[in-house]
Amino acid sequence: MRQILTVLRFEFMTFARSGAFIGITIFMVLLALIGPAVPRAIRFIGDLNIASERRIAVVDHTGRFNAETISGHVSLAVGMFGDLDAARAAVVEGDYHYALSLREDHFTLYVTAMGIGVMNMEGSITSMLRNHHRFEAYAALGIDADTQYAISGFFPSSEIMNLSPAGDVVEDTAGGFLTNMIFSYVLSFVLYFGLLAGGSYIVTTVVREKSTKTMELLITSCKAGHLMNGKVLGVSAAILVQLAMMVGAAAFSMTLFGGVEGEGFLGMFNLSFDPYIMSMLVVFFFLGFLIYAYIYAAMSSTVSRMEDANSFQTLPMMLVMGGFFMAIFGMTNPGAAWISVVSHIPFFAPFVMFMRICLGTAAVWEVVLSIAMQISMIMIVAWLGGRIYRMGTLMYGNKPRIRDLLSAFR
Amino acid sequence: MELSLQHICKSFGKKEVLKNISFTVKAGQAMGYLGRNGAGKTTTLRILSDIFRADSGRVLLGGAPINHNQIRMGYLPEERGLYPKSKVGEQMMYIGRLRGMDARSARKSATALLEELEASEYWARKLETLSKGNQQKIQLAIAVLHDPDIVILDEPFSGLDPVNAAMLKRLIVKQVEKGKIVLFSSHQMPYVEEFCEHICIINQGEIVLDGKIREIKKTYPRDKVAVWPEGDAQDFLRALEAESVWPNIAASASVQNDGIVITMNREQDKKPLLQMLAAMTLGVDRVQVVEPTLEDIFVEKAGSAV
Repeated sequence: MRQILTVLRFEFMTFARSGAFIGITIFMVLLALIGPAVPRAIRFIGDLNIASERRIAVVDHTGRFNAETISGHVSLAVGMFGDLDAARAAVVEGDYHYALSLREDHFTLYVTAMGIGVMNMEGSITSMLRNHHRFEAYAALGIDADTQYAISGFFPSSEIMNLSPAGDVVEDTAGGFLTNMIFSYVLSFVLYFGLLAGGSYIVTTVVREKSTKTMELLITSCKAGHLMNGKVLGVSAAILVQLAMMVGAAAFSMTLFGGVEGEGFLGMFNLSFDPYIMSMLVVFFFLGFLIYAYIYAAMSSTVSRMEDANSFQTLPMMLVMGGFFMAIFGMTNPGAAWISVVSHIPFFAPFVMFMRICLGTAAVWEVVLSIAMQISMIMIVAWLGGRIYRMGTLMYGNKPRIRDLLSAFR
Repeated sequence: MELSLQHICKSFGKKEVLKNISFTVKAGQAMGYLGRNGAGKTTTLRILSDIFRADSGRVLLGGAPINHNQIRMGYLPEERGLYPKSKVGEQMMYIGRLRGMDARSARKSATALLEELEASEYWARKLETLSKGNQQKIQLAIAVLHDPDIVILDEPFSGLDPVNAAMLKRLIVKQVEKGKIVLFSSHQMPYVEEFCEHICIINQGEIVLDGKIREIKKTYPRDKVAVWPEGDAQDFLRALEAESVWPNIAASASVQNDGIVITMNREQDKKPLLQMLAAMTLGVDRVQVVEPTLEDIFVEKAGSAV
């Protein structure tokens, strides 16, 4: 145990002091601080734009519209122009953002830069013309204004109710689901890159110990199994600290800037800190990392050159990518039976079960079962990995064959 | 206390690397383990260090099977290696802790060893910034950091300049004087001859010679004598050849390095030769029986094709 702790401490400190670790930690913490504040920032910038009053120069060839009517539809300050050239010049000079030429059944919108906003504006003006046309038709039929509004102004309210496996309502708005999806996406990426980066670091350190011939000295000072366990736990602990710092930063940022008040698309975001999801992130990340770390450590011990190690990384990398993509695609239908099955497979659980937790489709017993299966898998890969590691540490030269690896279990 | 290997065999695939190896090393002695490249030296030392398991045979310490968990063993691998990007002091502390030392005693021992090897200033330096020779000194310091009972050194002198080699010799001699079991392999015969009482030569996986150097040398014919005259060696050789008893004593003679090497007809002719030299008017500085060098013995025993 003492040897494991000594190796753990050495590996933790070596990894935590490396430039790559420090750089990535700073980047991730900054991202965690900034990310939750993005919706509020977008709203703030939007408010600034409103404050600066976006304007449209209108030339009405129909004679039916006034500034007030148009402004009510497009939410812009309206300037009525008699001459189209003057309106276009006002746009070019920057006094107005749009110039609009209105005719009976056609309009032209002039802008200096295309964008999604321009297309939205085109839709708003189309809607305005259609409404106007409809109201005129109603009036021609002798329908009074109140009746017109009663017919056209009807708009039902709606909500989506998400039921948990226990039958409880988990989320009552599409916004909640959207927020959870964003969580699941972002945290799946964190898991994906964390596993690959940590695994890659383990491969590098093991192969370097072999290529620099440090391994022979180490295994005469420490049991190979202790060496592997200490290394895996040390790197895992460093990654966990990195994750904890990121979660802490995210919690801080969510508390301060998470929610966006008001209506509209941004109002659907509710990036509040959820202790259950965050603690599950840490648990599933740590367990998943240990499974893959043992696989990486055992496989890399059998080669002594980085170029050989790259081919050995393919298998765990494929498993990680498999879990990641299943989680991403599974978000479209998180209640599907196949999602439920793969979420219990320890190699994929860190992604798929975690996605189900985020979207509220995993029962507590499923989460507990998944954690238990992952812990069992860790013990299996640690045992198998230890056998390979003991044999692999002194293998030099050509890449080992499957037969060589199997001989470790005899 | 003595360390014994008994009937050790080891194969890698179909290649039989060690064939029934047996030898014993006593505490307070240094044993030179010699052999050509690929003879099986490193494999033997790795079995002793518990890196490899022997296919058959036993390793005994004090007559009982060795328990690596209960003894302290210091090992300097042939393939040197430490963490190039880590500081020397940190690495020494790390290895010391792995070998069961507490932080304080690891630091104390590491500091003392670096001082002894005149390498104290490297404590806070990254290993990769040191010269190859200095890196090797650090490696040796690490091998004996935890005051091991058994010291196994694989080619400890390779790549060292004479000054560093002398420093290393002092450290090894100190281990011998402290009553440790010291076993090392080397191709540099003068170093082996200098402080090894005992040698063992392995050739193609088999022990071809095992014993004390002194006794091994005595098994060779002692029919050659070197004479260093006070004056010119050529003149002295002519004077010798002019003596009437010379043909009865000497089969041949030649001048080598300011001395004269005389091959006698029989070993028993040493006494008449000394009497003849004493009776001559020309002076003699030194007379010595010419023994085979360790290199001669090594070439003879391990010279067959691998």
